[in-house]
Amino acid sequence: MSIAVEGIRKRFGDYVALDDVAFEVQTGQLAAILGPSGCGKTTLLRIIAGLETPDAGRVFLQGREATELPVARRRVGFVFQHYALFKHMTVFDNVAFGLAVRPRRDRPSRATIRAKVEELLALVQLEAEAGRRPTQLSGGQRQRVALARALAVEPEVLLLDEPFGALDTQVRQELRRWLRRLHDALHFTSLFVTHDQAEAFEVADSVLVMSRGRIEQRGTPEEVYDAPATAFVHGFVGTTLEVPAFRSGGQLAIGPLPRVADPGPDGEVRVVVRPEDLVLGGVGTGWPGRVVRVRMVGPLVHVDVALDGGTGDPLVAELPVERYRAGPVAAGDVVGVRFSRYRAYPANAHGGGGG
Amino acid sequence: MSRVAHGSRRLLIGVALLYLAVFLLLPFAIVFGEAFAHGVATYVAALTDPAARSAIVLTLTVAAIAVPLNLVFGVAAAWAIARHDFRGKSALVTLIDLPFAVSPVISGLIYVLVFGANGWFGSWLAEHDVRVIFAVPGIVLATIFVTFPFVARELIPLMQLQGRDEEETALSLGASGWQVFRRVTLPNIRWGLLYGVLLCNARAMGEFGAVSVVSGHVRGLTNTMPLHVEILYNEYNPTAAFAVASLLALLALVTLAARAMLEAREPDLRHATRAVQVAQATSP
Repeated sequence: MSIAVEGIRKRFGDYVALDDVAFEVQTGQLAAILGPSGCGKTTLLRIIAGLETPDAGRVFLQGREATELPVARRRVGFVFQHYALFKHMTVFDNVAFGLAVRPRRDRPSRATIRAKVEELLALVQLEAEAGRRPTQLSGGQRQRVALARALAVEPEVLLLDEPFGALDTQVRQELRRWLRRLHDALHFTSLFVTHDQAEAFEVADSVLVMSRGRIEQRGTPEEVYDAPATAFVHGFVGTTLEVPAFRSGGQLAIGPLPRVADPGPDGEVRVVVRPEDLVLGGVGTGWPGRVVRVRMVGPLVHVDVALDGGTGDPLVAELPVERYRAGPVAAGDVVGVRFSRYRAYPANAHGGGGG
Repeated sequence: MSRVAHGSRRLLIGVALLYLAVFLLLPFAIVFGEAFAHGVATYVAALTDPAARSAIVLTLTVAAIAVPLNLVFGVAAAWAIARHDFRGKSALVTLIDLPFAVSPVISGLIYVLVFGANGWFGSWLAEHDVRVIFAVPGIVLATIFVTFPFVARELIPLMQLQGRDEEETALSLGASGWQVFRRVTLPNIRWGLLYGVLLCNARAMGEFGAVSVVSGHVRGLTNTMPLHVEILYNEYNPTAAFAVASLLALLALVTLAARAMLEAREPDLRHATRAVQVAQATSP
């Protein structure tokens, strides 16, 4: 195991940033910590790097305890959201920094450093920019320099704090695919922090969802999306529609739909559905409702349906264009709504947010 | 823009310029005008007079001791305040401003009270034949006290603005504390530091009140340039007084020019300076 933490706690004054956090990342994996801002994810990353000390708990890197180890000796590469390039140095000197500051007996020769830096600049496709200053580079280029600089010291783990957060959408897309390819080519262990579920799903092998200083769920992107452990995770990793439901005698009643067996305590239940799991049929095939609006959004058709007896806003169903064309509906039509998939969570648990 | 708004803008700019001319440029012009009123020969004579030369040497000596000490103190204090959280931090920030808040004359009197003949350490110092008050050590101490906020005050907002990211990165790349300071922190603050040192130096050379109290005005021994100017003026020798004063005025001009140049170079410094000004303007 490359990275492991157990029982991590951290408070800032009265604010609990991390509350008994434990997880591990396997060697060679690219893992993401996903959560809304203020959930403690950056604090956790900084604790692993040694930039912050936990109030309790232990950190292991490469199977060795590192809790007391100073940053400089942890062999971690840390990449900041705002790049943190050394402004007064050229790109070359930035990348060479970690090698140049080594004590004389461990320091590679000038020629070796030069060769290594040139190799890394080639890797991040910035050979031509070696003599430039950070202020002369675009955001995407700066982040690649930051990455090359972190890799120069051959870290055992790479930690990235919202690495694409400050970039334009298009550059962000490109850079995250590039990071994934780089990771596959070099096989280092990396952990990155993000508040963007699409980013976590696209890049990471495994995802850790955090909320309020605790880990809500960990798993592969599919597991987290298809089987969210809590209503919070369901809401955070994708669009979530909520419908009123209650359970009695081991039977779940969702609106007027036929009851289904669902063991659990009696009472109100939070039933949540993804927009792609709404099935619109003829009257009598499901929960009656009226189509309010239909619109094309790229490859999808969004259909707003107001359920009879439903509270709040209409539900928005998302159908692929072909499926919509097989049974088109128009505003004012009365339809029956079914859910091909849904998840039920206890009503008292916290949730909402994000999405 | 309407004609009225345009007119009132002109009026405001005119008033500001007039104010500047009357209260800043006019005194400057008078200093140089009076200094050269009796020709260049008199001007040079006033500056090469033994008492004047001794005052110039003493002023340079005092600045040469006080400025490096406050440079080290200022960097250390700014580092501690901008980079670390510790108990008593806000008390330290307030203490750094103390010399700005206290009248320089009071600062001088405090040293007389502590080191003077009837002061706390007076008899001990007399027994060991060490003179602090009415001697050079007292002048140095008073100058250090009066000028110690300048470097720290310049650096704290600059370092807070720049944040810790670069330093933390350097640490994660294996740099030692000293390497981080020398290779990352210092290059980032160098222009702010230079400006703080210039300000500190200008004040160290120009300080009057605190130095006047502890100096004793021994001509040729404990007179700094500002004190020498006062003595000459009181002796009805305005030309010589203005000649020495012109050197101090020149120092002020050099400091201002350096500031303008540094701010043009370093946008961070400009923001930080503005932050200092806002902080000073809004502090009670």
